[in-house]
Amino acid sequence: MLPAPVRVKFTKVGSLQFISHLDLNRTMKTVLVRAKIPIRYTEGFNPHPKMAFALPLSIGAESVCELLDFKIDEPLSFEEIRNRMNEALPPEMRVLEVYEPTTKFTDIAYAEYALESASPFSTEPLERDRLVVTKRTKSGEKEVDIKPLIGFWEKTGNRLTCRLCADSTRFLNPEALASALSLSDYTVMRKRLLLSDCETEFR
Amino acid sequence: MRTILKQVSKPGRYTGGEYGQILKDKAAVSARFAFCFPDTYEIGMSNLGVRILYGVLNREEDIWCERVYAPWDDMEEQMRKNGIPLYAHESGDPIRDFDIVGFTLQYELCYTNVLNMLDLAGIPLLAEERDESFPIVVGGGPCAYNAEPLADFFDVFSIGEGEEALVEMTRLYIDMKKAGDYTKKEFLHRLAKIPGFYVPSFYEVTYFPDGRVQAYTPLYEDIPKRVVKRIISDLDTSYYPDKLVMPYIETVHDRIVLEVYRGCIRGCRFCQAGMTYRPVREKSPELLNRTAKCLYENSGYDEISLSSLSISDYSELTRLTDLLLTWTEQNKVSLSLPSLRIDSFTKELMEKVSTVRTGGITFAPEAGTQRLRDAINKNVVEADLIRACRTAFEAGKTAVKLYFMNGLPTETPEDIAGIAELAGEVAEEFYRIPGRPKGRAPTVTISVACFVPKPFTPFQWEAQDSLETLVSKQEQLLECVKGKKHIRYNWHEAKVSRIEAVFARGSRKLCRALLEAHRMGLKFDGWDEHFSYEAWLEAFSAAGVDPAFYANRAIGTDEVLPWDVIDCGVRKDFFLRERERAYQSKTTPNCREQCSGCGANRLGGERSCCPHLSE
Repeated sequence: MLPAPVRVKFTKVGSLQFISHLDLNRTMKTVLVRAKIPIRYTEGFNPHPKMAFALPLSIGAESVCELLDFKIDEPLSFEEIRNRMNEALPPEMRVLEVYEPTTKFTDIAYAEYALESASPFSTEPLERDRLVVTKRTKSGEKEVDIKPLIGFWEKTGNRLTCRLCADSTRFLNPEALASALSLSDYTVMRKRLLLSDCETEFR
Repeated sequence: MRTILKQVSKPGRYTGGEYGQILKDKAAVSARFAFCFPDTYEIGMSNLGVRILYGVLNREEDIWCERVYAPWDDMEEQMRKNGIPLYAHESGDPIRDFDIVGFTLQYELCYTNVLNMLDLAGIPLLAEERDESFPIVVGGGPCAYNAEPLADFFDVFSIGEGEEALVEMTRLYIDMKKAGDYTKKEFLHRLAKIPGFYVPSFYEVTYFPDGRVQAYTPLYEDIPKRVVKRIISDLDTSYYPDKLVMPYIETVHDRIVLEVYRGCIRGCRFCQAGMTYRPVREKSPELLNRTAKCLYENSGYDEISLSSLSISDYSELTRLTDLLLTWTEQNKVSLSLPSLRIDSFTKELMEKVSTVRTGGITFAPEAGTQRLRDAINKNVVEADLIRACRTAFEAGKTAVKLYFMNGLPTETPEDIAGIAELAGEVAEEFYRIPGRPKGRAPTVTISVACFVPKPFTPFQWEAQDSLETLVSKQEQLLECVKGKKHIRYNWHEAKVSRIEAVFARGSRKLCRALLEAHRMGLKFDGWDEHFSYEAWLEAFSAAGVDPAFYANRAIGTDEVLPWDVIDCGVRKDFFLRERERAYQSKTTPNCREQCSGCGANRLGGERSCCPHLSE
């Protein structure tokens, strides 16, 4: 049935961690044209490809679970979409999977990250009842308790695996957690998107 | 590096890794070329010359050309603090270890960035202080036509179009290295015998006590007395990139740029590009259409900009836009024509070009009265402007932007008042249109630059107005537009234009001033937040240079000019004739109407309107 909905799971790693969401959006438009994907455009005076990303990734974070939805106007197999897009993508972005979406991005409740520190660190702050950080907002600085936004955490060596709130109303940036733990030289990798049970992977 | 990039603004400027970048095995290539753009990544990535030369050098299997941009000051601070030398975008390797470091010199105000980039790379600034272990430093681009203010810092300049020359230069370097007879001096000597290469250290300059140039003397008998610029004879068979490096971050011209022709038939007397790019050479519409389609498929951009000095003078513009429109519309690709002349602006053209449909309309009458427009040979009359603006208004536009210049030779107070009057006429035309957009008012923005006399133009001998005169002219115009509610007026900072004028016509004596400016930390002079006129005056004074000698002095027509060592194709007697006609407010027909014998046709050129001379 056309137009057919398509979900693309892709990676964004390496130097691409420094590319903002807005820039990713513009890049993806050119990628889809280069890949000759018959993507559906918006109607109107100034048509542009209609696409939606699951969850913006902040600058400085890598990911192996980015999701992009769009519709196609002509039949094209999922495998063909994957191959064509991988041809058109820079090496640090790879399409892992293409499938028909059966869920909505609004079902996403948590995102799992791996924080890898170059030096040892203590998880003591995570064991407290409250973990207050100073958040900079438009109207000034604000104290926020981020503890309730941490669904799960586990430390192995210098790596912290954590599941952080990632829905439209409650969202915790892994950078905020890293700074609460006083990490300075570290990497962030988004591993999985999860449903509200903080267990089941969103697909 | 990761920690550093997290602390700087726009880290995407520094990461590399773009789709379309060219990676090679450094162990397998014979020469590494660092192509430096002495301004930010966003500006450098938009430059067509860089796109072409990057592609043409990398087409050679044994040459690897990489890109380098000027880091913004926050990044520079981090690099200096952490001991990171200036590196190439693709490999991340320090450019000090490259074979050749090339700078494209697009505007005078980037000169301090050139010095700062050399310094950041750990390369000694002065050419004479660089031994065999350092890369050859070559400059090119528009400012190379008078690169004397940079002469002490460069080993060689490539004059004119570089597609063939840069490959020949690198090839000579590789061959000499392979043969084992490479020395820097011998390499430069052989290079100086190849057309289009100017090795400043091989030309001795003597001066009169007052600072005027007495003579240029070649130090070898087998190098030319004057270096003739290079041109690409046939643009249809010359290299043009069919792939692009795709920036992630937004750049200034984030689109396909299709170069339609080189040169200009017009001959505006203040315009350097209009002279130095002669002779006119066109590309054929069929080839352009194929190139555009290819670039679209390989880039995914949704806009194609047709580029040239004056796009409406392309003899096959209708054929080209018709060919492009056969596939661009259905692929939602828009066309833009950035350099439309007033007298060519028609309803038909407007409908084809979407940027005109959606964006603002800009015209460049340059001067406020017919007398002055004739003196500068703009060849545009008021009726053309009114008709063009009427066309725009009838199509629903309400905003028009007009470019002018202050300080043009022979300018009088009437010419300045004429700018305001012309803008007023345009605004009034809006109300004469029966079907004008109801309930809306027109806005006419006048944007006024300051005249900068440039080498290789009929106005090359003219004095720039003093700073005080320029400022008082700007104030006079402000008075003239006061109370006119439809007119918005903005003007260029005269202090910036004065520094530009000093370097545009400067001699080698300015090298010291640049060194002083660099020592004082000047850079990014083209950026408001960095430019400091007071600091520049200090640098000139420390170097014993009088800026007025270069900017505000009328140069005698019998003087040896610092750029006389370069031959741009157009002859001095043509410039002198044009200068005389300017004083008489006489226009000169465009090249297609009648050849005025500028001399550029002796360089050759296919699909040109020049008569082929055999001299």
